[in-house]
Amino acid sequence: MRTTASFVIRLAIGITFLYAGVIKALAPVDFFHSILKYDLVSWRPLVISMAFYLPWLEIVCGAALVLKQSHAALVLLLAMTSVFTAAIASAMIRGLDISCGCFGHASHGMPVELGIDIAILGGLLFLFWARKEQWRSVAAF
Amino acid sequence: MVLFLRKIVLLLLLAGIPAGGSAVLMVTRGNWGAFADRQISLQDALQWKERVLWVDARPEVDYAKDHIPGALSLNEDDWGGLLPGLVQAWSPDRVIVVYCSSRSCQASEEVANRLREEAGFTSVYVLRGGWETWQNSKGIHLK
Repeated sequence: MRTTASFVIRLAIGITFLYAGVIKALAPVDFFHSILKYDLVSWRPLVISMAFYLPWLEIVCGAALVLKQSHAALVLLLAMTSVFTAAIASAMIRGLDISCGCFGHASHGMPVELGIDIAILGGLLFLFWARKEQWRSVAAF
Repeated sequence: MVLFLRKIVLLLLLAGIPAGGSAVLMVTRGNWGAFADRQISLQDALQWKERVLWVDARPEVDYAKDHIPGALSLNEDDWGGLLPGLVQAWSPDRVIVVYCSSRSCQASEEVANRLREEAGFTSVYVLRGGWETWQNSKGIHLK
């Protein structure tokens, strides 16, 4: 049961990141402006680098998760999702009336995107828990 | 643990290759200008003096209460009805500066995008801080 749930969640999260990554990789300028609107990073070269790099990191990690139970991809996706969730929450707290930009033009409102991110975080934590034996061996090396 | 860290570095590097390629492609196609700052400070906008064509992207009710002198109302609720007025007021030497209520609103960005993409205007900026900045500027616009 745990294995089946783990497989379904792994595929769902992997495909979600692949989709989100492809949409943003096709429109880096839109993603650049979405990042700026969060008002968290203002140094332009960094924002431009993020606009090009993050979508591809999502694609690579999403693909790694779909193809294989990759611990490295899990760690990177957990780190990214935590940052994205914190950024959305901070924007909501500051009362910014912006679109999340998480799924490019297909983005929903901030509360919906925050809900999606929290669900993904929960899924990733479940995957960590489901593979806890393997994690012990990773940490032992 | 070392192998695990190597895999993380490998994934990070793998993402960098297409990302770098995508950036190079954008430079070679000459599209880098799209990353230019679309927002402008009040002080910079005021340097254009009468060349500025102010566009108020707030709801009509707010525009009716008060607005930047000479500003035209243009919002997404009545785009078709208000756009002809802007087109009439515009001339090639004018720079459009769109504003909404404050730093946290998005209406000015959306109106500015539509002016660029749908109406074909090229010199379109968004006033950083919007109407709130104008009101808090303590009369620098009156100098």
